Amino acid sequence: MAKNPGALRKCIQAGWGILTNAYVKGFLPGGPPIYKGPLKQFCVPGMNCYSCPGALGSCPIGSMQAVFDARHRRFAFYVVGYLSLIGLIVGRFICGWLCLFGLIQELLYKIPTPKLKVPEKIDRPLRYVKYLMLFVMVFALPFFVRSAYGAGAPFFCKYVCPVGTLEGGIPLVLLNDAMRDTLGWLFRWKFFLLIICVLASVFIYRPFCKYVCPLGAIYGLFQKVSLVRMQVDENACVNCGLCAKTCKMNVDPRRDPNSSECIRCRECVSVCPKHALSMGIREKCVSGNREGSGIREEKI
Amino acid sequence: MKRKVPVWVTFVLIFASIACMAFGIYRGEVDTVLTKAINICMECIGLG
Amino acid sequence: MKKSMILCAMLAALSVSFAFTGCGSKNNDSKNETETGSESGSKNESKSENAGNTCAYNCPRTGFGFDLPENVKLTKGFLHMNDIGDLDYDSGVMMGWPVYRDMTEEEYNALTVETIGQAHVGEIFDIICVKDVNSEEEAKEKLQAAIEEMMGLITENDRESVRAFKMIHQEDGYIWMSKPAKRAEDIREENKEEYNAFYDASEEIISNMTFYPPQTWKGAEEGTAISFETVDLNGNPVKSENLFAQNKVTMINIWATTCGTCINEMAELEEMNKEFKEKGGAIVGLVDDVWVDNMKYLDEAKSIIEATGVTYTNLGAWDGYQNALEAVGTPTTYFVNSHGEVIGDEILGAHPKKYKEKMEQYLSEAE
Repeated sequence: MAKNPGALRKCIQAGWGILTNAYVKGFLPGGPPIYKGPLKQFCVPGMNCYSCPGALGSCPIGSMQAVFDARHRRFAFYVVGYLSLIGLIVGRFICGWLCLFGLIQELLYKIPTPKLKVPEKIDRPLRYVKYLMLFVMVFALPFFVRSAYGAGAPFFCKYVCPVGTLEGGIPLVLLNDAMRDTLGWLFRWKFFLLIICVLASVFIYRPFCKYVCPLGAIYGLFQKVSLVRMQVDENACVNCGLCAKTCKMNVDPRRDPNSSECIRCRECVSVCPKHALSMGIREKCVSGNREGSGIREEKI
Repeated sequence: MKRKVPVWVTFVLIFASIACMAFGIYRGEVDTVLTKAINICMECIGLG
Repeated sequence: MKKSMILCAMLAALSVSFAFTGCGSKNNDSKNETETGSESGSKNESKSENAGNTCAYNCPRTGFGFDLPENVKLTKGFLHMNDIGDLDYDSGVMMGWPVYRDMTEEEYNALTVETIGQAHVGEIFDIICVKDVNSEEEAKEKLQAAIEEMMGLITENDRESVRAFKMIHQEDGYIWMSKPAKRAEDIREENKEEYNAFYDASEEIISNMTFYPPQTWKGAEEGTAISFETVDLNGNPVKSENLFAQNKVTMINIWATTCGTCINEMAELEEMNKEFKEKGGAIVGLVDDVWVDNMKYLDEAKSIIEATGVTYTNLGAWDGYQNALEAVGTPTTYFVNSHGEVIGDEILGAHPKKYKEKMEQYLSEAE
């Protein structure tokens, strides 16, 4: 185990975030506002606004809404297939390792303040809001609702998504004067939501990921069947509960290691005193106990 | 921890999602994705 | 506990106040390059004096101008300046060249899509301006690289073309080069003499050319003159000079078929257009994703126009249109006077009330 596995994860998150937003020209005043090249045929696996001046790929959630577009009402097979494929292979690993907005929330959480523990009674039901976002704001409304002239709208992007405001709206407004004069009530609303998200992230770990993110909702659906998964070596586990205490997503790996709320950050893995937890590939017999004392092979 | 869902289900689903992607590509959805991504979607970034 | 609460309260207050002030200071620095190529704070730098502007024929985006020598008179045909400017968004390689058309301007304007084939063109030379280079070699290298970047490959033909360029002027880090064009063979009999006289005068014209730093602008600044040729959605050719001359003020509304915001304001624009028409103004749409040479979404655009009841002209986009009418997002609206000069600032986003306000203001000023 690495001395500081958490640091490795941050590096990968940051590295990926930079890589997928490496269009420097977009940030230079007087240059092209955003990248307009062929790479945007592909979606990045995490939440990353395609209107970010540096973005080199498309946002899967935005793309879905674009294809659903009520003018044509086409189901987004390409994007949904892509997301399902990723979900089936790694589940919410993307959330934990390859999502820039997730990293941003984590960094905000690092600000030293007393942290809020959301009581279970509120926390549990709130987790379902993500699915509401997914099915209503990302699918149903963009797919079905037409304006008087037949136009559709990307409801989630337009009215909710703080990622777009942070990565797209704000940089574009700062870099393009014409944009500044167009700011209206919608921008104020989105900015307000972003502020709420930012503030919440300081006191609550990854609140957007827990309660709002439709992408996390999709990946979460595949957690239990994904190829890469969390495994508990029942023989090694002594039920100390340290993993559950450490988990910032409020998952109890003893009971539900492949919960749809787990972002596969592996913090529980590194903290388990008996090395009973691991992240591995299905089929493989993964022993958590390196001393090798009486490991029972898991059968399918 | 016993697996409730056999592995072959995962593989079938993987195959299905690839087929899904292929169908979407065949239908020209990639063009829609690209077009939407390169014209700044004012609505997406909340500038209405 | 108390300290952090105060910190949070401050943070919250600060951010909420940002959200509600909506800063809107207009700052045009980043958009315009002046003569020295550096940023400036003044809005009208684009109108600064250029010696070249006094020449009869100019390619402002390529930075050169010329007058015809004494012995060359164009009476049966006319010159059209093809001023592409930057080959790509910001490649630093600009191109422009004169094109002789073998009929009078009136005759040419009367042509339609079907009859356009009657006009023949003859070129005499191509001019390239390369930015930030110090030698002919460097300039040629940059030109070649730009071609490769744009086309994705470079053919032997292209290489030959690049080699054929010769430096004609150097100033301020810019190098201008020229290359003779092939003499056109299919000019009308009655125009041949004129064209040949013009062609033979190439050397003279080039040696008396005036050069100035190419005007680059991203987003038309107030006062910039726009000129273009395109087609409307019915395939009819449109020349900007004719389009603008018909109205005191033309409002160009740039939209895209994928843009819901744009679609939703179009019915209102149709109403506004009827009002404006009475006062000598007009609205013209420009469809960002229906290109003159790629009408993939033409049917889409037409169905939208039908659904919204729009009857005003809608233009197809032409290559490099964003050099003249930058649209960072859609809808973007520009106002142009009858001479094709941009008036005021562009409006980004759907703001019909603002359009009306500005249009009425400009119409009354245009009296």
